Formats: sequence, structure tokens, C-alpha cells
Amino acid sequence: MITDEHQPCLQGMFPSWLTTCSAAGEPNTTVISQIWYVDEEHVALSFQFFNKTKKNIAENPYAFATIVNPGTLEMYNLELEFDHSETDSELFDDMDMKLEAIASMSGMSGIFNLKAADVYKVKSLKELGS
Amino acid sequence: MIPEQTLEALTNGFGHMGSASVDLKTAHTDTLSASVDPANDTVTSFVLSFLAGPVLENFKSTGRVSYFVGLPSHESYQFKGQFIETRQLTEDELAHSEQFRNAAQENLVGMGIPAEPAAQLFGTAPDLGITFKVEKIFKQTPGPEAGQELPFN
Amino acid sequence: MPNDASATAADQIQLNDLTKRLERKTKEVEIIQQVSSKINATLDLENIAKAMLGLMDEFFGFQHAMILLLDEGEEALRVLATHGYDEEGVGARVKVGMGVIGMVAKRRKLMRMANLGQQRAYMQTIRQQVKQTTDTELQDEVPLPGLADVESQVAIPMMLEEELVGVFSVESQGVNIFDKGDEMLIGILANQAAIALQHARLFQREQQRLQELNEAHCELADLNANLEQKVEERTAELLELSAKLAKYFSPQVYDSIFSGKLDVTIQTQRKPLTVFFSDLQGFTELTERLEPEVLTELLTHYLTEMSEVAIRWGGTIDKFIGDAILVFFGDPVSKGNREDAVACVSMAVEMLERLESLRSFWRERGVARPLNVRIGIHTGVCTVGNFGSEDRLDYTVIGNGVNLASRLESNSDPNQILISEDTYLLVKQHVRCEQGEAISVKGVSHPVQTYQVIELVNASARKDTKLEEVIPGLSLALDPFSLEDHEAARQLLSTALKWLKPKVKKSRGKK
Repeated sequence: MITDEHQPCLQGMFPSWLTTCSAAGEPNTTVISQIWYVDEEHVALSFQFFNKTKKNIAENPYAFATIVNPGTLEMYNLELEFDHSETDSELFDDMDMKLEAIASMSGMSGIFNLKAADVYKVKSLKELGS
Repeated sequence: MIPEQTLEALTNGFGHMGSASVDLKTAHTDTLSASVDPANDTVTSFVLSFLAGPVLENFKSTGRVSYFVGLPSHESYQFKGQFIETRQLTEDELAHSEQFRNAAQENLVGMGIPAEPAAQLFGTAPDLGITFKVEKIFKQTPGPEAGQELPFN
Repeated sequence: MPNDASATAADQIQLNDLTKRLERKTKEVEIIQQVSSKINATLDLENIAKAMLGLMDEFFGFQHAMILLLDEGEEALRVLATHGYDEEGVGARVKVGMGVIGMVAKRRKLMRMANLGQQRAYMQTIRQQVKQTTDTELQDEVPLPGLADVESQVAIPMMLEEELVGVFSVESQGVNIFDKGDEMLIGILANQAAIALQHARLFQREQQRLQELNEAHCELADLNANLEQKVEERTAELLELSAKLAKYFSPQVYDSIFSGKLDVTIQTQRKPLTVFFSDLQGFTELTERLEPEVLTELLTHYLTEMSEVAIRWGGTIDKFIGDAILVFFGDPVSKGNREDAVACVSMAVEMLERLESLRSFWRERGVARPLNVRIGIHTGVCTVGNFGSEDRLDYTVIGNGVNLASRLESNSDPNQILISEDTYLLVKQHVRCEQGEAISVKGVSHPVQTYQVIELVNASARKDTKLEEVIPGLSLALDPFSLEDHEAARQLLSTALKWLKPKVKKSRGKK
């Protein structure tokens, strides 16, 4: 589902936004800096803090995300379903590396601890407006 | 009384309104500014109706609203509450939206986004207002206080 | 049915596209080869790096690039060369783990960043929040080498056989400038660079070692040149030192040591020696009655005079113990047992004579009490040599012989020389003696026969040939041996006799 066309959206060059909801149906919308490409059918989110999003996903695995092409501002909506968390993989290392590189430049080494790379299955991918 | 500190982000920030369906599937749509009714603690966001369909459906079935607004400085808030109604936007509101949309374009271009897509994205005026009653407000500015409730009333 | 024309057109477009791509690829390979060969042509570390970076701009448009090398300690990287920056920045340091370059070094993985400005702004927001709302201690933001407003960056680890050599970094102020193709290109070049740099580094190390050797060589040459001067200086020092030491050794021993004949180690040997022992009688009383200054002067005078006599006769002055003197003959130099013994006794006799003049000298100075010396001399086998510890050696003599000389001295009368039978047997032809008492000495099984020295034979022989008389009105001293003009002497005496002709008395009478 994810093709080359979408790659620029998954570089962290433009924020993405994500909506989850609790088991009781209470929605939560947040903006995140990057949704990571895993493969054609999967994306990943960095799990750093225990926040509402994480709590919701624990109760309800479904999420809705919008990714943006930074050059064209084309937007895509993704229906996601939480799959699994990774801590010992190349994906995790890449996430961690990037996080640490940026954090260290601002004198904040060690403040961000990547807990896991949360991998989601992409159920659908639609361009906005289509 | 919606705290004054949130007004800038509400009225001039990038907004995304979220919803949940009965079977816990979520959807959101972007807003092009919003207005506040302090007397009633309601917020009306400005949306493009042709994009807001799924979200409106959810509001009608579950009524629960999440509304994230953020400024380019990263100052952000999330409002949560109960859907009330959709309505037409006033002249003032439309005027304000235009102001917001122009500023947004400038912002994006300033970020390195090409002018044309920015114009395309923010060129269209909103044609619908979604009003909801604010029940809770959360700080969302990235940092140690993100997720903390901002008390009001 | 597909339109043949359009199909052909589509094919044509695809063909053109492929051809273009092939051309580009070929060009790239050519360029890489050129760059690589230029890199490997030189062995100078910094020049290689700089050349590389220049070429990368020339061929691929990488306008801002730098190469960093991993420090020996592997804790930081150091900028080796830069291209396209205002300041050279060479030598600037990046800690492993710090920033993009630091993380690439830490994880040994390439990183491609597209919008650093935005990412950092985001971080700054959080930093502000952390500062404002928590007590968390934040590290200082360390300025890293590179573009201040960098947006895009590709940083690649330079590896050589699993070892990290350094990091290659390319930057741009444009957002999302680099793509996967650039990554690959830079990666290839980085590899080449790693190899070339490693070679150059090794070469540099060799050069350095060579230089160090040269320097050492020069130092050695310098040292040789200075050596003569140093030797002179050292010799002067040694002479000074030895002059000081001279006071503590008897001249003979000192000479022996410095002539090399006597080795300054703990060495002793048993030899026949003639040992002389003397001390001043009545000295103890003097110490009570005289001022310390006067006493010191007296003692020094006495010892100096006696030493002079000893040295002249060739004795080895062992030591002074207050007013007592121990001298021995036969070591380190010996003229033979007999000669040594005779010399010793002669020395003792002269010491007595010398003491007489000292006595009058001191009497005039107010020391009424006369100084009398007792002397004992014995010839026998003693142990002589360096005794003591490695740091402090004493050249001295020990043994029963020494004890005997000491006992003889205590049994001697004042201003007398008492010798043992062993000595007497050696010197009797040169020294007239009188038999003394037999004394018992510890360590000697039988009593020791002693002899008192009367006079030296030569001296008495000489004495017989002299005529010295003093009577009121007449003082006569005649030494035929030293008389040069016998005729003049006879004339003189004749004249004297005429003066003394008795007066003739005229008798009256009887015929």
C-alpha cells in the first residue's frame, strides 16, 4: 500500500497527526513529528512516553493518521491497527539513533529514552480529498 | 471560562478535530481556525464540509470530540468535549479564517514549503462550523507538561 | 488493439530514460575511478582529505563537506579537513555520540537528515519547557563543527576491516537535498577515503618515527660535542671532592686510592706491620685547666707537628684519638720489614725531640705543665685494609699487634719509647736499647719482653765524633765531620792555647 510516492511523507519532514480513542470511545488527537516507514504494509511510531495515545492503543488498537508530503503538501489518511512493539531491531536502532542525534545537539542527551518502536498495520491508505 | 492563554492557538493555530465511531474506529479533519464563545464555553471550528464527512458522522453517533490546536512555536492544546451542532459561519468568522489562512501560507513558505501547494491547501475558505462544548483542556506543548490538564471553570 | 504508434513512443521514452540512466551511471563510475586514483596518489593525510573534498564538490556538487578521524582514545573525532566552510575548523573535536556525526561514529551506521532546522526547533521547545517546568539539569549545548543553519546532512562512517577510521559528512542549507543515490555515492567515496587515510596514517606514523630517530640522532651528536666539556666539569668536581676527602685519609692511603693502586672496596689483608702508639701524659688534667680555645690550639699544634714527622718518615697515620696517635708502617707501601721498623723507631725519636721544642713553646705561652709523651712500638702480623660499610670505609689496622703496641705505650715511661722484642730484633743494629720488663698482654700466651729505646746508633756514633763542652768562660763545639777548613781550625785553637799559656814563676836560689 505504501509506495515510493509516499516515502517523502515518512521522513519526518512534516508533522503527522494521529487520532486514537479509548475503549469508552473518547477520542484523542495529537501531532507527532514522524511516522516511520517499515514496509509496504506497516508503519511505526516511536514510543517514548506513557501518554494518552499509548493508553488508548492498549485498550483499542485502531488509529487514524494523516501524513503530509512536505514538497507538495499532498496528504494521505491511513487507517492503522496496532501490531506489535519492537525493542531489538534495526527499526528501533534507527529511531533511537535519530532521536539521540537530535537530542544531543540540544544538550538533551539521555532525556529521551526510546522505549520501543510500535509497529502498526496499514489497513487503508487514501489520499485526502479523494 | 476558556483560559485566555489558549485563545491564540485556538484562533490562529493549525487545528485537527478528531472523532470516534461506535466501533472504535477514529477519524479526524483539519480546521481553518476557530472561534470561541466564552459565555458558554463552546468552541466552533471552521472546516471544509467535503472533507469533514466521516468526522461529522462520528459526532452524530457518539458525540465525543477531541480538538488539537498548535502554533508554529509548538505551543499546543487539546480540547475535549461534547458535540453540539454544526452551523454556518459568520462574516467575522470567515474574515478571521482568511486572515489565518494567509498567515498559515506564509508560515509554510517560511518553513521551506513551496508557495503553490501552500496556497492550494489554504486557499479555500471553510464552509462549515462545528460547535462543541469544552469539558476539558490539556496542555500539549512538547515537554514534560504535555498531557497535563489545564484547569478551567 | 493497442495503438502501435503510441506503443513505440512509450518504448522510445523508456529507452531514452534507460539510456540516460546508463550514461549517468557510467559517468559516475568514471568519476569515482578518477577520484579514487587521485586519492591514492598521495600519502599525505591532510592533503588527501582536502583533495577528496574538493573533487566531491567539483564532480557531484557537494558544497559543504568534512572528514573527521577517530581519535586514538576512540572517544572523540577530530576534523581532518573541510571544504566549503568559512572557518577551517581543522582540529575541532566532536565527541562520539554527539550530534549526527557523533551518532554515526557511535553506531557505525549512516544517517541522512532532511530537515534539521525543524527538528532542532522542536527540541528547543522541549528544552525550554524542561528548563521552565522541571529541575532537570540540562547539559550545555555544545557547538558542533558544520553549517550553523544546516538542514540536510549525510554522514557516513568510514570503516576499514570492521574498524571505524572516521566519519564523512556532507551538509546543505537546503531542506531534503540528498537522496538515496547521494547516500550510495558518498558511501563509495567514504570507503575509498578510509583506505587511503589508513595508508596515509600509517605512512605518517612511519615518518614521525623517522623524525624521532633523527632527532635522537642529533641529540646524540650534541651530547658528544658537549661531552668533553662535561668531562672537564665533572673532573673539576671530582678534584674538589677528593681534596675534601684527603683530610680524612692518611696521605699514603689517599694517594693509593687515587693512583688506583688501592681499590676502594672492603678489602683487607694480613701483613707484617710495625705499629706505633703514642699519647700525651697529663693531657686530661690540661683539659680541665685550660680554656677550650687554648686547648684546641695546643692539641692541633701538637698533632700537626707529629703528623708532619710521621709523613716524612713514610708512616701511615691511622687515626688520632684525642691526643693519642696511631701510625703504622708497611702498608700500603713497604720498604721491607726491617726498614719499616727502623723508620718507625726513628720517627718516634724525632717526635720526642720535636716535643721538647714544643714544650718550651708552650711554656712561654703560659702552659706551665709540661707535655710528656708515651710511645709503644710493635712489629707483627696485623689485618689491614678497608673496614666498614659500603658507604663509609675506614682504612685501618686491627689485630693483636695493635693491642700489643697499645699496651707497650701504656707501660712506657714518660718521654720514652718502649718496643717489643719483635721490633728490637729488627732494629737492634740501628738502635741502642736497654732491656725492660716482660709484660703480660691479653691475647698473647707468654709475657712479652720489652726494650727501651736509648738512642739511634748512627746518632750516637755521630755523637762520639763531636766535642761539645761549656765551662764558665769557654764554650767549645767541634764537629770534625762538618769541619771544612781543618788548617783554620788548628790555627784558631793554637791562638786560643797561646792565650791560655800558663804564667811562668821565676825561682830565687839554688842552682
